[in-house]
Amino acid sequence: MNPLASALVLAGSVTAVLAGIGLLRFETSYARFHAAGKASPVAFLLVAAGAGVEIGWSGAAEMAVAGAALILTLPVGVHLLFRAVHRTTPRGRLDIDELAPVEDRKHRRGETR
Amino acid sequence: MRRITTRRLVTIASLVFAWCALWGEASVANLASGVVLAALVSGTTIATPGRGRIRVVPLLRFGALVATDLVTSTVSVAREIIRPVNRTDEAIIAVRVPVDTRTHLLLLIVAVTVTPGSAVVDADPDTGTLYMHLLHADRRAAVTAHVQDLAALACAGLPVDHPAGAGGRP
Repeated sequence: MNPLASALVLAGSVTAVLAGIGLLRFETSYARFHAAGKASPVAFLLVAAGAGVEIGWSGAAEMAVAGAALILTLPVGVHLLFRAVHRTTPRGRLDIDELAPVEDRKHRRGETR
Repeated sequence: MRRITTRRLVTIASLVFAWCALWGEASVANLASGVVLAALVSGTTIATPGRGRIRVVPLLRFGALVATDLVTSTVSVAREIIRPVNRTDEAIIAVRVPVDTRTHLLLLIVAVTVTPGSAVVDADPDTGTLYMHLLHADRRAAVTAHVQDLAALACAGLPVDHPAGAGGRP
């Protein structure tokens, strides 16, 4: 196996393991999303880059399409998870929360979205 | 015959790339059929007709900034994961971003959310405000400056002729 490909795949695997550990170690849902929803696509991109180096141009192009699809769709899902958690957890969990007063004001005015 | 714009060239090139990638090889037949299909699709209204121009250099700089951000912030989140004591100090902050249209705001949200350590919890397109969740509240000033850099690059890369404020339609 090409050393560059091995290094990339190894780096991706380490990132994926760290993301898994972070999922268990972090305490709030938000922090867990950072570990699970953000570090794991980076892990995928690294492994895909390694695989692309190993299997040549046609494979690399397929990996690029898969990576682009992941990068474009995943943030939407992660963002919705963040928003859902923010709307369903009790206020005051974070020291600084500049969204809560805005949402409370909207709620008082009876605006539902 | 429609004018050949940078936007159309970029669209056709990306479509041909995706077509050949999915076929698995860049043979002459694949390239030719890809160009024909891409020209057809981008010339008709099958795909959403794009408006405005594309400036390639600012867009590439935008991509490069997001890529470096991806690497550095993954390292910082990884360091946070293996640190024995929990030193995260989470916060949700409001960041005003000077963008021209909702399209820019969407691009910005994807770029911010894809990098570990910062994420968009909610966005207000009427005022151009992003509500961002940070793992470390003390990085607030750096993150704000970074998002505003990204916003400037996004607006430079996809200029609009009549900026309507953040509330404008894409």
